[in-house]
Amino acid sequence: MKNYIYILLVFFLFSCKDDFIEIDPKTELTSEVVFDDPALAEKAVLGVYRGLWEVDGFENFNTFHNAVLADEAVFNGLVFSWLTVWWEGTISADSPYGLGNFGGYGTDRKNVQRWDHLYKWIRQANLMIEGLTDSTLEDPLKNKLLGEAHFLRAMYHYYAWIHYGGVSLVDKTLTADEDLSDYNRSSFAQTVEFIVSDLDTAFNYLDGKYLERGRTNASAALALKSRVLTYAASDLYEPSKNDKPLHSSYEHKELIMYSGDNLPDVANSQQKRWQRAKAASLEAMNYNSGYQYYLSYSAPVDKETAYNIYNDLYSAGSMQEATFERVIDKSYDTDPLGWGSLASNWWYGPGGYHYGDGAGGGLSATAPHNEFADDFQYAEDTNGDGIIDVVEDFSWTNTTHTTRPFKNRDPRMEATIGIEDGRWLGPRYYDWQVGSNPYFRAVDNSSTGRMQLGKYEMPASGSFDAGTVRGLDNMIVGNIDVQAGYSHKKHLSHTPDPNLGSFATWWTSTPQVILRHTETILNYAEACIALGEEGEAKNHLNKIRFRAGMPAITETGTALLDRYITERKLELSYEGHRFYDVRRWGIGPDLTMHGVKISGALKTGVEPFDFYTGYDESKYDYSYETFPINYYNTMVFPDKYYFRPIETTVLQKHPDLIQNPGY
Amino acid sequence: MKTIFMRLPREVMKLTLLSMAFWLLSSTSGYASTEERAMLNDSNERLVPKNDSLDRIVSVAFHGETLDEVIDSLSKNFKIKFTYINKDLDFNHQIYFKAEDKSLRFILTNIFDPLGIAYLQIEDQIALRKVTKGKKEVEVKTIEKKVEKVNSAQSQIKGKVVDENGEPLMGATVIIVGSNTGTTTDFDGGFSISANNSDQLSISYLGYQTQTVTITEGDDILVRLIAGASNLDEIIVTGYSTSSKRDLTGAIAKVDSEVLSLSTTPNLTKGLQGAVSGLVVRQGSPQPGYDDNPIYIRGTGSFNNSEALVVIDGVPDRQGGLSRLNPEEIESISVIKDATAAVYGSRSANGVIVVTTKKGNQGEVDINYSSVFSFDQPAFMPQGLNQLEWVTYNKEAYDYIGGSPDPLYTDAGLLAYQNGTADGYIYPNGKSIFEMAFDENYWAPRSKHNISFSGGNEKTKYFLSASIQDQGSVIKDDISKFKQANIRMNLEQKLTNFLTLSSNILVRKEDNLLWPGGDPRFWATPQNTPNALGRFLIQVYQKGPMAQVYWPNGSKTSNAAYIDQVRGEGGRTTTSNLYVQSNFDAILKIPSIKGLQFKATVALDNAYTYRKKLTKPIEVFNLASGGTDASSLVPATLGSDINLAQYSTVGVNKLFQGLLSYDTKVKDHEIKTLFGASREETNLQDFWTFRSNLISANTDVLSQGEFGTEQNNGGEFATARMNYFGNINYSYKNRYFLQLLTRYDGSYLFPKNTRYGFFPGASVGWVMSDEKFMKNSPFDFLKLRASYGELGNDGVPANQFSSTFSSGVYVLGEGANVYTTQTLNEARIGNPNITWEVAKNTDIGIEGTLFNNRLSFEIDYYKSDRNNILTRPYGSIADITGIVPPFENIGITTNKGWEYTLGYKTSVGELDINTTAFISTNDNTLVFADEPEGLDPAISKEGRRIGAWKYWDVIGVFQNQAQIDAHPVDHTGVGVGITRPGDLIINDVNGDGVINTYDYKFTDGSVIPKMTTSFNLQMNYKNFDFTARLYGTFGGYIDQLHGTQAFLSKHVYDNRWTKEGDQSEFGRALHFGGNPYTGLMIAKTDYLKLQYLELGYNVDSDALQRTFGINSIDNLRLFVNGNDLFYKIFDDKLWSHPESFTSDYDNGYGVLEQLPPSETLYQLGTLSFANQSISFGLNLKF
Repeated sequence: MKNYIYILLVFFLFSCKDDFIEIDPKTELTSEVVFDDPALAEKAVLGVYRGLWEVDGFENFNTFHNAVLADEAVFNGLVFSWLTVWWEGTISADSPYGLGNFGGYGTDRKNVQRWDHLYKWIRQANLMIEGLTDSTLEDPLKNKLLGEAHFLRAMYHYYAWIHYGGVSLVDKTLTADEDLSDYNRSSFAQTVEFIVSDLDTAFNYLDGKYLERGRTNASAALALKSRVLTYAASDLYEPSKNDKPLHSSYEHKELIMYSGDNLPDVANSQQKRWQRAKAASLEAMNYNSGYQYYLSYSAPVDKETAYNIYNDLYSAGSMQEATFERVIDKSYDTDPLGWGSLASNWWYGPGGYHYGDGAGGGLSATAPHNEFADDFQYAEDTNGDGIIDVVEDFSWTNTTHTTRPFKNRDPRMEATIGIEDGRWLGPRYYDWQVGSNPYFRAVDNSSTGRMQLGKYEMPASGSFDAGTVRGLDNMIVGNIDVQAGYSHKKHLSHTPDPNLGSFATWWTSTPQVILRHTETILNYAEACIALGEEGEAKNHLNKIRFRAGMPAITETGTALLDRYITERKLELSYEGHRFYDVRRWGIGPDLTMHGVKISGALKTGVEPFDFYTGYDESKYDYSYETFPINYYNTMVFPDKYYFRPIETTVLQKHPDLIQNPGY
Repeated sequence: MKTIFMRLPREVMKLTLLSMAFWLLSSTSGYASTEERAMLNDSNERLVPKNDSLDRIVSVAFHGETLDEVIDSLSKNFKIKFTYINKDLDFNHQIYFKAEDKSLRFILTNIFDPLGIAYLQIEDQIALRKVTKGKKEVEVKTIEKKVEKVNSAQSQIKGKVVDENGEPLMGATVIIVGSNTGTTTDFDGGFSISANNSDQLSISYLGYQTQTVTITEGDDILVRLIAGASNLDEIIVTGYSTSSKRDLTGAIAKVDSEVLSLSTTPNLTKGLQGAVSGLVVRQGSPQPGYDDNPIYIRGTGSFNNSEALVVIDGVPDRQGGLSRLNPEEIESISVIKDATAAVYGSRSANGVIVVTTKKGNQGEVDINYSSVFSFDQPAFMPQGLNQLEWVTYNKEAYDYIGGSPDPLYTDAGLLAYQNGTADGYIYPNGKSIFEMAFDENYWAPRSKHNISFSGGNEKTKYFLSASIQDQGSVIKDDISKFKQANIRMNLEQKLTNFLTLSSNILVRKEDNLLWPGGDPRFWATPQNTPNALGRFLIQVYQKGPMAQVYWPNGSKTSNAAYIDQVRGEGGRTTTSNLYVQSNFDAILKIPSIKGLQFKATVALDNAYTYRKKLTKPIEVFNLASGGTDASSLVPATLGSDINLAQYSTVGVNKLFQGLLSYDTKVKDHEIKTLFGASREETNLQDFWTFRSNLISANTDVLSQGEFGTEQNNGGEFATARMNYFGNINYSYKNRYFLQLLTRYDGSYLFPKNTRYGFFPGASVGWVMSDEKFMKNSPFDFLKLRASYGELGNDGVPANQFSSTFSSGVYVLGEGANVYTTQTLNEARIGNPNITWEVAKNTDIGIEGTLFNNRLSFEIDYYKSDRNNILTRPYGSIADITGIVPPFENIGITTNKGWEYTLGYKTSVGELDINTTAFISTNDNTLVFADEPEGLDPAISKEGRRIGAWKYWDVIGVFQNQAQIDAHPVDHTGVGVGITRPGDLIINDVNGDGVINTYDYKFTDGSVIPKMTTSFNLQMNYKNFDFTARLYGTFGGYIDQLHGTQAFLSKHVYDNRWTKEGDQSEFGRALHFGGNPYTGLMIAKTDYLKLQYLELGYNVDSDALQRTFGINSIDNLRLFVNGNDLFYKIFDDKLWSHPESFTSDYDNGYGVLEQLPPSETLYQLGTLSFANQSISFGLNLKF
């Protein structure tokens, strides 16, 4: 009997309840608890912003890459096959991103705005809208969060629209077995209306509410609406202006332009669309007046002031004009995708400047070129009062201009790109000297450091042999001997904090601007020009010109439009706009690229000196020679590139989606 | 080879010292007594009454009683007095034997022979003696012996039994066929028996084939027995119980620890390769300490985890796994391949590997010492290009697109290499990273020492084992090192006649030293397993021969950083893994009910990992852009500060298990049943922390880092399962067998309503050779068996059933007040219906022996239909839903194949030969995998082999522009830019005029080979033994790296297209080594290798005593062994190691990762090689 008791005892051990199997997720929260808790709901909405990292590239990668794929910069490094494929015109639905990858990243980490990524984040926004609508939270928090969610839903649809044309409009969380026929591509016009409607909703929720930097706000909603309506009014999307045979013969024109019978009344002619864009821009300009930055001048400021304004506007610290930007915390690796994405200073910064990366400086992986730089006008202060009084378009055949090609120029040039003798804040590490001493490391700590570009002779001095010093436009990768004559400056951190260790010096801490006031003004001016209101357009463009120290615009007619296009290119350079602008205007990027070789020859009789300290006419004779930068046999921009292909894998799962023309 | 011998003396000295220590130990403990003393002191004598004939006809039945109990029972019931030396016998051995109306002699023979025990009647006693390894000599030298003569009324037949060499066999059994009369041979092999003329005598002896001779008048009989017997009596561990091979109804194979130790690699699983048919062991990384090999049984049938479940001493899935177990602690490994694994339930679908560790034997202490010194070298390194070839190739590639911006790949660059004028600055001419790292004369040393003590008495038995091993890297000057020390103590204490307690305790410490890994400029998160070798190989492969390490003036280039890293100059990663594993068992025999037994088990495992990763800057020199000589070298620092990351995990496994078993026998009906319940819980917690700017690299403690630079993170993961299981074994006449088994499993992975899964299985067996109609068949043994059952697989991430939010980060604020804040994001949509994957396994087998057991064979056909496979429905859920799909039970596959095992044993003179060959085939099909509806069948993976590689079929090369212009098919989608002469012509499979996704073809195989084969040879000649194994696989494919991580192989270079008229498979030179998807990087992995070769020499104790006067050593064996010394590769395109299949880079990709149709194959590839080794060792038995 005793033995049976043993058995019973032991079985008792195992007959206990099996509740222990229930293991709640250790690092995840179930969705029921999220929306009724103010703190959690707020964090959930912040989570929707994370898509901006993914869809708009990470940090400055995308804007710099967009610059290469537009015509703002040349890719200065090795030939990557994604670039080869792009410039040879062989991108397809199967291979929408080019093959190979950039710097070891996987295929989905580059060339962003993928259909699947965008809709992933649209889902997140819809989840918020539905969850918040049903939640017990109260105004103002509830409305603020709803406003953000609507804004973000509009934003992600906007990215889809500007790349693909009319897209699926998703206004609720879809289930796995959703009837897809309700979510085929909507027309171009319907997509615009959907985005605008969401932005209006967002504005209503957000109006009067304070939100931290890094989050959106009512002003941003208006600014994005201004952009969307300006883009929508552009020529590419107007059947009578779009002269591309590929587009006009496309069976589903309504997907890529304002075509067909069901256009909304407010947008059934390009005229109306421009009027609508103008009104939206005006509303945004007025509402956002708090974001104005030195835009109230009635005459050009002096060159020095202009430079300082722009240098401040573009460099580290806050972008005073921005209504919405992505904030970067350089003490924390905020890259959601893996290592290294914050290394924009390293990738794009001028050579010899940063010191922690082992390559003796930044990689100058992309570099401005002549075609971009030449748009900064020749601008001379002839009487020495600091005010520019002679302005001409810059030309490499004009000897007045080319004697010192970078001296008398639009002051924005020096603030935007690294040019010869341009000012360069913070320490520069001269990583090398030449001579028998194999190296010489010196720090130029003067706050008035100057950019040194090109090649300069060095005299023999003491134990040093004669040699050459190379400028910051050097390209270190793979020993490639290309010096474009320029370097990047805009967006980069000028003054890295050496206390942050090795990584800080690679990173820029400049917030990445998504929407800012100047764009809205330019949008407004564009609408005015399109509507023939040249005076109003010039009036606003001049505000920008005066801030830049440049005299008022004198052009009219098509010359005014050209001037506007140039102004927009220069003001918004490297912010990702040009990629879209050359498309919506139907002009395509400029496919030629030139650099300038800058050489400094020692004057005869110059006393030996230890190391080069900057541009010095007393020591050097400078010469300049333009040259074509061309690694490719072919650079083409076929008409199909005005819209992206919908990826094959997307179509396989959603076969009723109509492909864009040419793919 | 020189190096080996130069290194030996020091190791030999160490060894000698060690051996001396043991001898000292043995003499002081006085255990080294003579045989006589052993007999006097330790012999046991049991019950007397004598003069009872062994020819009595009796009946016995033993159902798993231990030998101890059997001897007791025999001596009580039949009044026999046994004498024996305790240490000879394994008293724990369970005996399954029954005989009705047989002579006692017959019974004793059949009980003791299979155990390797000879019995000898000496006057009124039966002496039991263990037969030594050579199986020819019984260790009884000093006892007088007489063979009892029986039935003197009949005529006395005299005879002698000898072996093939004419040596007498003592203790052979001689029985008159058809009667119960018999005897055994004496010391000289002689016997005498009363028999009638024309009677038949059956003469049997353990390890020899039984012979039958007919008595003819007047002749003395000389019987020559031939070595070789069946292994039908060996005991095999099945799920929660054991069975003899004869009675087995499932497809279960056994691997002995001796076989495992033939592979001298530090990873146990390598020894399983080729040891069992149907088992595929892939090659892990050769990085010391990080060489885990995935194991697959009978191919793969799932998209998820397809690796076999490992059960160690009854505990499934122990942390630390199989790889690092010491083979010398292992009694046996059973590989359960078919439905009889269902007793392991939800994790059994991929097959189960059951490991049993050694237990103590009753008797005097057995001491085994072994020591092995090995030397490793990469066995299979890809052949790359030299500098001229590299420049030639890349220049060509650049020329196609308009020339190179890099002077290296211009006319001037090419000329420099052609003329040999490369200056070493602009044009690198020095040794590359590859050449610095891999030196064909370098053999990395490795050593292992093991000592074990085993023994006990009737009450207490112990097995104690300790080992240390030490491994270096095959990369020259690499600081990497792996050290392992483990101690195991298995104890058993019989408290009362009905209660036995036992404990198995393992403590293992693994110490790993490694360089920090990766690009020295980048800081990889510390919690990742250091993947240093993978990242290093990427650099080696990608940079090729141009990555010179030194500038001509002797200063370091930035490439030197990689070598410096390897040398530890960029910091170090030290990892310690500590495993403490314990089982405590209580076995309660219920005295009032015979055959009823209860066993309770508590297993507690703790696993700790501590890792410190110190990174420090490396100083190198760069050539200033445009610089041409040493004067332009600029110092650069890679990594600007010294930082330290520290990582720690604690894992706890708990298992509580109860097993109730009942065995009974009623006449011809025998039933063995078992019922059990187990509760398993695990918890894993980890955290890491980090500081930078340490004061010095020598003070690698966090407090030495700068305050304010700290970062940290942590996580936790838990599992829980509740299982009920049982089996019933029924046999009739020991000829017909039926087994029913089942498991009812509950897992934390599934929601309440689908939490429990029911996994039934059944198997049957029929020993045909016992049937009367088979009496005259050539088969000594023939058995048919079949099994069918349902098994589970649950290898999916946790929490798939609930919709959850997971956390991330976002940045807010302005200026100095920028801060990173936490966010929430939808992690997934829950699938409330998620449940087990189910495999329905069928196995039909036939096995038998022929020609007096010389030839044995075993043939199995297996089929596994798997449904409910857990996969993410990526293929059907449209992207606009934005859904991150949870796993659903939707996939369906089939997996089938044949397994053949053929064995042959023979003796030629003194040469014994034993050979075994395994061939197994595997063929699987993906039946359903959630592909988009209406997907073009051309690209559908359904109906194809799981893991088939897709590729574009190359049908030629465009020879000139005219051909391109005239070609009707648009090749722009190929992805290499504009089509140029030298580009590949791709077959437009669907004829739509465009090359795109719909023109793919699929390989007919995957990385899992279609056929695996091994051939094993074992020979003994006098004191020599020789063992060898050939192993090969056929029908596998591998997608080698392309893209930026490509390796430019010599084969591709030699066979590229360069000018019009060239016929080339590979086309023109392309950047990054290849055309994605053209299939040119897909190579067949067919290969054959000499897996091992071992030659041993046994110095017997006599010789030791005679020559050296050493009498404490029973046996000394010296051996030399080679592993993976020779490879035969059948495909020229293959440059990566044929056994590696997965990228060692970053997270790595699973074998079936490419399955979802939307997934890209792009990053799959190989970054590994394998080592070969030569070993020298000795085994000592005391």
